[in-house]
Amino acid sequence: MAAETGAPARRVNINNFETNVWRYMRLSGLLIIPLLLGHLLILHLINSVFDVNYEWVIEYRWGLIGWRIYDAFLLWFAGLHGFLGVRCVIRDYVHDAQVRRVIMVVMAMVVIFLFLLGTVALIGAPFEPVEIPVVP
Amino acid sequence: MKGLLTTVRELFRYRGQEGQLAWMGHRLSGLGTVLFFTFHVIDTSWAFFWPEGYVHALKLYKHPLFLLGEMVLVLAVLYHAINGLRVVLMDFFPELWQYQRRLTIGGFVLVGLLYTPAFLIMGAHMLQGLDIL
Repeated sequence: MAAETGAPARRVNINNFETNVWRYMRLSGLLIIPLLLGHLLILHLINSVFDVNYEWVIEYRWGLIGWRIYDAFLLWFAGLHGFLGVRCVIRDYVHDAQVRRVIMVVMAMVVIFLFLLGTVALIGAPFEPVEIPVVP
Repeated sequence: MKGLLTTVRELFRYRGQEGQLAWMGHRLSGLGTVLFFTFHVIDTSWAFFWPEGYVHALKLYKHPLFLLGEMVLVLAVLYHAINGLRVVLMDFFPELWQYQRRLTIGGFVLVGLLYTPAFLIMGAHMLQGLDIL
């Protein structure tokens, strides 16, 4: 039967790094689709950039802890998905091992910086807007 | 870098048809979204670190050029989501490979169907927000 269908006789569990990246891209993709489409639906279609201001974000979005968790999920899962995608593109076009290594190190630092920045802001943002000087 | 040149040149020469187009679109929409994501995380974090800067950033997002960028971004995300879903389905269920061509073109059609109302709604927001309507 196995020979007829071409299916392997035994399932081999491959657990190397590249295979896990491959799995992550697909599984995180499935998670990001509803999260990101929901994000776009709420912020760009139901509301618009003209409704978004500092007070609105602090009171109505980050005022609810659930939205902070939602945004954190987007930050981490979509961020990692995106930069692993860039990594894939770079590996396609940059063949010099030295140059590639430099790009990867810089990119890893960018990812860590963005994750820290976003996570600290999501945890630390106040639940009441602070008084800010009027911007002309 | 030679590979990059080959990709660009063969985009017009190599007859990969809808499959090549889908792959190219996935790559471009992904890269564009990552670029926006980077700026978006930085400016959104200012809501905590630098509220004045956040107010400035939101003003910038209301500029007509950024509103056009928003429309392109939504298209990029929508395409990446639907084409990505097709890739996931085909990877996990290889029996779908025989419908590869139909699924790819169906994905393009679905993107068009979903993007049309989104485009109209964003267009209406834009015209209202800019006091044209």
